[in-house]
Amino acid sequence: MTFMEAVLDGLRLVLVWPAPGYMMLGVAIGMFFGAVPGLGGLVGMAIILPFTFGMEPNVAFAFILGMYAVTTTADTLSSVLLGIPGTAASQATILDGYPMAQRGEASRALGAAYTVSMIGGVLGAIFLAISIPVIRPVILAFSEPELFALAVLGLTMVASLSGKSIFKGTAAACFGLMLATIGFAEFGGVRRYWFEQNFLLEGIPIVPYVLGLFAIPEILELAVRNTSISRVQRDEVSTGGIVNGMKDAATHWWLGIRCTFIGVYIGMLPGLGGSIVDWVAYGHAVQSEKNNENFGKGDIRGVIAPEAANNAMKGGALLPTIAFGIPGSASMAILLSAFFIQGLEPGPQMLTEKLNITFTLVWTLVLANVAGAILLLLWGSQASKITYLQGHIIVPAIMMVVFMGAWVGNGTLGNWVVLLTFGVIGYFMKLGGWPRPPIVLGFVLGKIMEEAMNLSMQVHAWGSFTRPIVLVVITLIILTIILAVRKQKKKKAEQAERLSAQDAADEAAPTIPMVVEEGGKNCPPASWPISALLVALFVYCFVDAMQWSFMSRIFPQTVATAGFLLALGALFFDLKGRAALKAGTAASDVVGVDKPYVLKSLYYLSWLIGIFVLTLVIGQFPALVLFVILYLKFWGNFGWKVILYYTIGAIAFLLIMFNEIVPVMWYEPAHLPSFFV
Amino acid sequence: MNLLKKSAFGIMAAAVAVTGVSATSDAQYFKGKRVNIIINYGAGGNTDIQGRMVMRHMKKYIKGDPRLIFRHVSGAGGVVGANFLGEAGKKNGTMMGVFTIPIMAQVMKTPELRVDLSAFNYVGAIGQQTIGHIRKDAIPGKTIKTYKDMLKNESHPIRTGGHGPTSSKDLRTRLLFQAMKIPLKHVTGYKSGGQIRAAILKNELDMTADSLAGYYGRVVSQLIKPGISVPIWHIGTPGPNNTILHSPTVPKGIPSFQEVYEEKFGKGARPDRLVWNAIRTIGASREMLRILVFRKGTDPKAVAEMRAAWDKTMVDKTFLADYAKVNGSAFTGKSGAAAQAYVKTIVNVPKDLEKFLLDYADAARG
Repeated sequence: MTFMEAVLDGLRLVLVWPAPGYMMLGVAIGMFFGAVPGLGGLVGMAIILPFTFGMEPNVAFAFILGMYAVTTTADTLSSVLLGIPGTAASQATILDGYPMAQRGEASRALGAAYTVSMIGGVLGAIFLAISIPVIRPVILAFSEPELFALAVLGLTMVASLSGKSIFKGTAAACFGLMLATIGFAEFGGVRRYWFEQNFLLEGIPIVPYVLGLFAIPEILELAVRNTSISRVQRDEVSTGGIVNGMKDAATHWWLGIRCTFIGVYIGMLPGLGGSIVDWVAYGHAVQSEKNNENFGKGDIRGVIAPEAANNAMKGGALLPTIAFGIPGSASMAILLSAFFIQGLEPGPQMLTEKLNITFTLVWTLVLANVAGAILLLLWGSQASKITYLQGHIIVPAIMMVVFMGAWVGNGTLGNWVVLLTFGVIGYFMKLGGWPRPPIVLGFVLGKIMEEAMNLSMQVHAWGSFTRPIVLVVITLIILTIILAVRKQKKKKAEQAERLSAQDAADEAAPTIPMVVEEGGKNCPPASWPISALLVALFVYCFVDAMQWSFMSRIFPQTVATAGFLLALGALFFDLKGRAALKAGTAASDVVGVDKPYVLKSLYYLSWLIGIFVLTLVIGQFPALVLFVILYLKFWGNFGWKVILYYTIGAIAFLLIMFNEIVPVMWYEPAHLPSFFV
Repeated sequence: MNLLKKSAFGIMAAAVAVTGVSATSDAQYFKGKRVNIIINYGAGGNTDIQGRMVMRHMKKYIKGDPRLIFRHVSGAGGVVGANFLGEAGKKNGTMMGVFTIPIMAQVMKTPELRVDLSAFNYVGAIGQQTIGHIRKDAIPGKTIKTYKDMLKNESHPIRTGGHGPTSSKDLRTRLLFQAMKIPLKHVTGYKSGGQIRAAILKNELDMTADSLAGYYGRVVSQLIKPGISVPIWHIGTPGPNNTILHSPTVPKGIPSFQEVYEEKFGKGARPDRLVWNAIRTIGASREMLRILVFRKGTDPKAVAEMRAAWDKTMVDKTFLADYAKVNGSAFTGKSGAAAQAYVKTIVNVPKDLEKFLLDYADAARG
């Protein structure tokens, strides 16, 4: 079979009934799993895999890959509309997507995101197709030392995500790196920072962690202020349509292409994968684009970059799986199992006698990406209407989704502890002007870095640093740092200029900025307790690690040392700012704490903790329903009729979604009879 | 407030109606019930795939046709899931574990394991042998075609990979090489078997071992067929009179460890007593690598019902065919009663062996 015959036969196999039907079913399931926070492609693949027993290979792969291809397209919905990452690959999208929604431009953000997702997905698949015969040396050239160097390069993006204070950004990244060391360190056989809590042995689960950091603070704000997500009325927005977003995608085509390639290459390297691809693309956009001062405040380029990359990544991720049977992620491990169930062996035969099957995968990716994006583009305008609803109407629904999203992973109360803990941390970080993205970046890179460092030293020792690709990456790291320092200096000078101009303007007509970028706020009274706590935390982590074996403690102690110094630096500036604020000599961008707002937020927070306590007493399902009723009654002041309809809807949602479609193991206290037997 | 109360009752009533709570009968214990299947490794791994496949077939023999809900409670080499079932699991038969047995955690009495694995109610068990394979060019200047080609190597260290000093794979690999008096350079900390295979492909490691499913599913296509590696041994099945026998599930061409050992050191020869007993213990644990269990104190009716379903599954032709397809080898398993008895023989090791294993693992901590 020639190459061209294989291409055409692959297309034929995807189009032969029932493959297209199963592909569309997969697309529908994938859109659902992508859109609901906490589900994602991995859960979807694990659920549908058993249904592929007995299917023909082309049908099975159309079904599985149809689902897999579109989860990172649909995940944009909750990232943009609610500020909650739908999957791990759309965390960075919220940085600009959600501010756009607040500005009434949700449809525009979705339009751009779906367009570049489609293009990224299709290009990723094409790249997969043309790379298959030549990619072997590239993949084999990347080993643990290269992964470690790439992870360090990724960390240098913290500078772009730090907002106003590089101290806070880098200290927050160290906090994330430190959090990544929690749990059972297999390589040393040591339990680290686990506080004898079973659920921490596996490390902090990423879904509740990210939902806590990003979703809870936004929900608090909606609940306390009772505003709609969009801060402007629908008829006031003239640039917010889906079509405008599609035009944006066309305008910034070069950024989209660059990020597509970033996605493909990151996907290709086993061990990096979905949770960092969006951050790398976002960091690249901030670092490389001109006029970048609006990133983090609702810049459409901040949506285009991660969304192009996270779909393109999937084509890349298939490469090592097909060519060598090396799965780069858990999703790919499931796909590998599907290969075996179908009696296919990944490896050279997939590039020779089974090349038509390989092209079935490629075509499925292409067609599913196009179908998924078109469906979502058609539906995007309707979905974006949610951003104009009153806060009190959407908060209970979002809370249910967030709590259940955090629960789905392994169904333990520990997940809710993580959700609420990082909800509190995220809230105070936002309040104090601490950027949250570096904590997530540090967390995902920390796991990769420590493992890669440990294996590199065992296998290559100091020779790790003389490998050609590592040397190239080290050069890139140095260049990135130099550029970042120069940019920071320039940014500071520009900020100072803008500040004095704004002071003059404010005197004439004071205004409140609608959207503040991550870490863009300077509030020393709320920030210094965080700095002080981090200083104490890093000291504790360093001391606690002293009893462990060398390989188990080297990474956490190094991070703790760096984190301690950086948090100390942040504390110094916080205390200086606080003193200046008290003395009335602070710059105009330094603000105090809005005490009534904070107190009301804390009160609402106690309600969220109440869900947890209530769950222990009456069980998870009744606790969530009761929360909805009580919230609507006492926070929303709605009438009983509204409450009744809403509650029926909530019960139906919980039961259909989490008892039928994605059945979970509900928490039911031992002292009560079981409802869900 | 009255209305609130009514609403709450309404909600409960609706929940009951939708989820279909119904009375159970002795004849069909699981009728109308949900059984939560706890898998102690992550989605997509061998435990998950095999567990789902087994339960899919077993479901048709469970009277009452319960709904099966799969949950992954992973961490610390399967220990977190075992603790979860043992401590939080309900006793009414609605929570069952399909585990890769974290046997070494119990044998070595590691503090993170808080439950007694032998106290679980066993529904059944599945055995899976382990096959060791090595790069053909592991010894400079020599091409390894069979295990015999590596027996005389006592100077060049073989590079091996594992998951951590206390993992079964690490202990097994180090013990086998020590017994054979073949030097090794052991690299540990790989998160998965896939990573180790990738390292072999990149010529960073020489040797590792995989379960039969992993061997036939991944190793053969990646390393054996392309001519990079060859199989050298399987650990074997502990037999009478201090022996380790050739497993019936492994082809004759891949010898048991005892056969390899005797090839080098002579018929009937054995290494140090504790080393040999440790190898036998690890070998025994492979006889029930995957287990189907209820927590201690579970309603005996539920256990009996599931055991009956498992017994029927073990002889189901479709299941056996599917098992062979997914695992590349014939099925070997144990009934619930047999597994219950067998597990006690593995976990209750003599004190000196327990100490030996602990010290052995400690010596490898970096």
